[in-house]
Amino acid sequence: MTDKAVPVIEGLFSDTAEGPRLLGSRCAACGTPYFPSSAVCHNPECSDSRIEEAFFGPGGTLWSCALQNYPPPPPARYDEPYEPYLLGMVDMDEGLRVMARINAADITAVEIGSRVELELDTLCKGGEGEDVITWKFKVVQP
Amino acid sequence: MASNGICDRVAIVGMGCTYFGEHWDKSLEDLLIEAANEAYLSAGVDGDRIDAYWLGTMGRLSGLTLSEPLKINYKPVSHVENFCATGSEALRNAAYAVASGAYDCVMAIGVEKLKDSGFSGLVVQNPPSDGSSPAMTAPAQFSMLAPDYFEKYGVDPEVGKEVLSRIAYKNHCNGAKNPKAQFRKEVPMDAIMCSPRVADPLGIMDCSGVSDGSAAAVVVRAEDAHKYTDNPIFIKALSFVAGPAAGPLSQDYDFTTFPEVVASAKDAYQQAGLKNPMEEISMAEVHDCFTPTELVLYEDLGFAERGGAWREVLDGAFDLDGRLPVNPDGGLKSFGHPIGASGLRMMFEMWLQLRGEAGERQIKDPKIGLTHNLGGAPGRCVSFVSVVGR
Repeated sequence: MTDKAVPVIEGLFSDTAEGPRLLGSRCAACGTPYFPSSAVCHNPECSDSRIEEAFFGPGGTLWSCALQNYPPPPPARYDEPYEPYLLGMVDMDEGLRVMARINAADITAVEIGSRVELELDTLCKGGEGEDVITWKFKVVQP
Repeated sequence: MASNGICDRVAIVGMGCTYFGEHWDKSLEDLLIEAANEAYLSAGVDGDRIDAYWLGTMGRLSGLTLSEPLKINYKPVSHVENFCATGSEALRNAAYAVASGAYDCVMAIGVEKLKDSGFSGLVVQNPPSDGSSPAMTAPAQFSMLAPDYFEKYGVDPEVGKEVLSRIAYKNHCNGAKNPKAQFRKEVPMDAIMCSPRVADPLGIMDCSGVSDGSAAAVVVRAEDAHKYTDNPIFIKALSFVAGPAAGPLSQDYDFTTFPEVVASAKDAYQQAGLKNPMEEISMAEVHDCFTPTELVLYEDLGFAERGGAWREVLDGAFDLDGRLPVNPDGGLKSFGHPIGASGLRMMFEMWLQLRGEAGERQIKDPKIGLTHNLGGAPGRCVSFVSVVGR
C-alpha cells in the first residue's frame, strides 16, 4: 500500500487494533448477523427487532469459489491490464456468509473448505493514483 | 363485455401500513418487512399461513423482491405493475386468486422507495418513441386539466385557483389528523394559493408528496373471514381498465374528464350493485396526484354533477364532515405517494374507517367505501375503482 489509500466504500470495514473487521450489525434478540448493516431484523422467526452494531472477522471457511477469467462489466473496478481473480463465498465464524475476493499463492488451486482470514487489500488504483481498498480473504490453511 | 365481479366473495382480514415519508435509514426490504409484519399481526397469522403473494412496485422485475426479505419458503410470489395504480393491481390479483378457490389466504403488498432514487413519481418517456415526444413533467400533464375545466364551465381562473387550493387545504387538514401521513400539518389557504408555481396554474402545494412507504393486506374468502377477525371488510367491486390512449391523438379529447375513470366507475358500481353511488357511498379515497385531478374525479366518479364539483368543493361537500368525505386520510397530497404502495394505502384507510379505528378523523358509521387509483396521465391512463363495505 502507498501512504494514500481510500476505502472503496465508507463504513463497511475497518482496520481495528485487533486487525481487520467487517462492520455490520446483529439483532440482539435473535442473534442474526447482517453485513452490510440492516435497519431492522429480517429473520421471520424474530418478533423483536433490536439491531446493534457488530464487527465480524477475521476467520472463515471457503464454501465455494469461481475464477473470474474475463473483465466483468461496470460498475466492477480493476486495473489494466486485467488479471483474473478468484471470487469466493466465505462462511465466517460468526455465522455470516460473505462474498469476497480470495487471495492465495495459486488462485487456480484453492480448495473448498480451506480456512481463510479477512484482510484489507488493494482493489485497484483510483483516479488520482491512490490505492482503493476493499475487503478480501486470504487462504491460511488449505 | 362481461364483468361479473366477485361481490362479497372475498374479504380483507388484516392490513398494515408504514409511515409514509422519508425513510433514509431503511431499505425497500425493511419497509416490506414492516408492512407485512403489521398485516400478519392484524390478521392474527404468520407467514406460514399465506399461500401466495402479490407484490406491487416499480420496475423490480420479479417476486424475489418480496420473497427475499420476507424469507418466503417456496411459494408463489408475483410481481405486478400498472403505473401509479400498481398497489391496487396487486390487491385485485390477490382477491381474484382467492375467489377462484386456488388459495385460501394470500397477501397483496405494495412498496416504493422514491426519496433516494432522486425521482419523483414514474419517470418514463411516452410513445411515440421516435423522439418526437415533448419533455413533459407529471405536474404539467395534470395541470392541463385545470384551464380546460375552468373554460368549459365558465369558472373565473381566480376562483378556479381557490377551488384547487381548497382541495389541497382539505387534504392537509385530514392528513394533520393522521399519524402515518407524510405531511401532518394544516396549511392556510393563502399559503397554498401563493405557493411557488411548478406548472401553471399548479403550485407546489397542488402536488402530492414524494415519499417512501409500504402497505399490505391479507385476503381470504368471505366465508372464512370471521375465523381471522370480528370485523373483516368485504370486497364488493374491483374494476381495472386501460384506455386506448386517445388523448395525444384525438382532437376531440376533452381535458375535463378521464374516460378511463368513467368506465371503471360504471363497471365497479354495476359489480357492487350500487344504483345511486352519490348517495350510497359513505367515503372515498381518490387519486389526488394533483389538485385538478381530484376536481375532475368528483365528476367522473359521479360524486358531483358535471360542471358542479367546483362549487361543491367551496361549499365543503368533500370535507371530513361534508356530505361525502374524500381522502379522509390526507390523500396522496398529505399522506404521500410511494407509487406501488398507494393503492393499498387507500384501502388501509377504508379498513380503519369501516372498523371504526380511524381515531380523530373517524367518519360517522360509514357503510360503503370507494378507492380510486389512477396510473398514467390525462388522455393516456389506466384507472382502478374498488367498492368495499362491512
